[in-house]
Amino acid sequence: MIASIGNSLKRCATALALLLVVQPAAAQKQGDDSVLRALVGGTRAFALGHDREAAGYFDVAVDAISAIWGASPQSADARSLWYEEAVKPFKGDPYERMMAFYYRGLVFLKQHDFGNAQAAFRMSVQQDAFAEEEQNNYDAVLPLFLQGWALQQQGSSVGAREAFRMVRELRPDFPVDDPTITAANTVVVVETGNGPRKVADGVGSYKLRFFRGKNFQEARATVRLPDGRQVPLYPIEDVYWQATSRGGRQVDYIFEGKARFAERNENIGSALSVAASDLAIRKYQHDGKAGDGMSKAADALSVLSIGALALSARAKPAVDTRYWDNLPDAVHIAVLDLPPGQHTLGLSFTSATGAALPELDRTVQLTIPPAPGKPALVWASSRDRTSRYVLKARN
Amino acid sequence: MNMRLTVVCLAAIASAGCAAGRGGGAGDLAPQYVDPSTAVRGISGIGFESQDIKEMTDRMVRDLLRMPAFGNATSAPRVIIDDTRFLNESNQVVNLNLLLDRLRIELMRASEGKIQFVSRQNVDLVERERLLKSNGTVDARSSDHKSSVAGAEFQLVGKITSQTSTSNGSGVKSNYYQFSFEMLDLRTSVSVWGNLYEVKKAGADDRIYRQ
Repeated sequence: MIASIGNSLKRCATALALLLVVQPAAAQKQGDDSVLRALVGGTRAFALGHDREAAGYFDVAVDAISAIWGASPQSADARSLWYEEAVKPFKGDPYERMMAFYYRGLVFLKQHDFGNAQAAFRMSVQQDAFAEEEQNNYDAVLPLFLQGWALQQQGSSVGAREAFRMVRELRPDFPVDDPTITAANTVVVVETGNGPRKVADGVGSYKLRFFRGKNFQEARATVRLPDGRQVPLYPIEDVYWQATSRGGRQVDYIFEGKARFAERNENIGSALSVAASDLAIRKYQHDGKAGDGMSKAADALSVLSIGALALSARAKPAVDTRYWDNLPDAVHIAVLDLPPGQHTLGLSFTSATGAALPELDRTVQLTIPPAPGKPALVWASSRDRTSRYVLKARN
Repeated sequence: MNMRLTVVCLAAIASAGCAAGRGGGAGDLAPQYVDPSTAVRGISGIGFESQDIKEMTDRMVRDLLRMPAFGNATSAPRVIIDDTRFLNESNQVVNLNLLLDRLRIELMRASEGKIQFVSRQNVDLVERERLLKSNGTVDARSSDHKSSVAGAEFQLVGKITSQTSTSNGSGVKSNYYQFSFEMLDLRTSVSVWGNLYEVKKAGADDRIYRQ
């Protein structure tokens, strides 16, 4: 009777191990990434000058980011031991949310809808306002400056002055004074490099780490005016800094807990397995009841060992490493007061050490209407903003 | 006995596996008509929504019709309600026409001709038609030549502002929106009427999304 129960328990243990190890692997699923696809699609469309298409993409993304995402089965799964974080629908990290509103604001600026442009830039600033580390909880200067620019164009001069005052407070080296901004009729926004990457680290991939983008050298940009003057652009935002300066996420302790759970069960399972093997060998040194008892104990320890190892294997502490892969590394700004008419502006780039990168040179055409016309936005990028997601969809 | 125990074990494990493997949508909703003055369950943000705009414009219509400059006027006052002096200083992207069209049309209906609305944004249409009539491309009635383009006596100006608060500990965010409106007398620049409307909303994301 006892022997048959022991056999049943062994079979159960085998089934438990199979179900715990195999079933969760099959159940792992990637969370909804429609927001991520909207972000990369919108960026690509904007870089190609397809503003209406870009607006559609970014509307999808910012609507989702603005919504309050309460408890859902997917978010519960992402917190549970048995699922990786990536089962949750993608909403982006704060730097990605900040950039989503930045691009939506740029499209509004190009369409001369200054009220909604400033609203988008204001939301962009607010995505940065929740950093865990207090000294970094409000340092996104790029959207703050553009918010001020949009407010000024709308006629909200008090709000504009306040935004520019905060820009100078955060960046004392910001080189443009208020009268220059007020007199300007063109804002030049130039993006350089490739955006930050997310990489999982630690046992079980439970730690989220950010790395600066790869495969680019450009760090500074200069605009060449039709009269030959060269105006260096001010490097107003480092996107990698925004990704890394926020401190930990509220959920980090959950993934650390999952990793500890997996590690603890693996250690227990290994120890029990060693003990079971030891007993299984030693039982042959004893006869009769003593040998039978050791055999049963070895079986029981095997069951517990398999269960612990299976629980360890099933726990999924891996963090979500999906990221917006066609963001820039940095954004640079200049304001210009250009006479009415058609202009060709030249853009050139240099590395961090000041080496010229002539292969990246480009020109931008723009038309300044007679005063009092609408102000112009010049946007350019040193990179073509392709994405692995867009390429994957085409293939 | 052996078989029964094994089956019980497997059933328990399988049910646990099924429970853990759940997922799917957060609540599917078949398409349906919804009253614009009510909030839709499942769609939740902390910005202002259609029900806020509807309630605000309904209150504004009642307030404006009680305005002495309108109520005591011997001839129908002419008013401009458009977005030329309506500033968005809030954090919400908004189609101002949604708000101002509704206000103008509700006022038009409720005032029953006691207020006239000047469509200054469409004055180019009037000028084009006049040009076609004056050069003979289209015919004109004799009274057309006597009428002039209507000037306005009042213009509605306004602003949307917002204030956002966040608790890092609880993750709760709140948005306070203030809509300020003033009726400007275009003959004197005196503001003859004003009112404020407020909306405040709060909410928190699931903690998996909090930073």
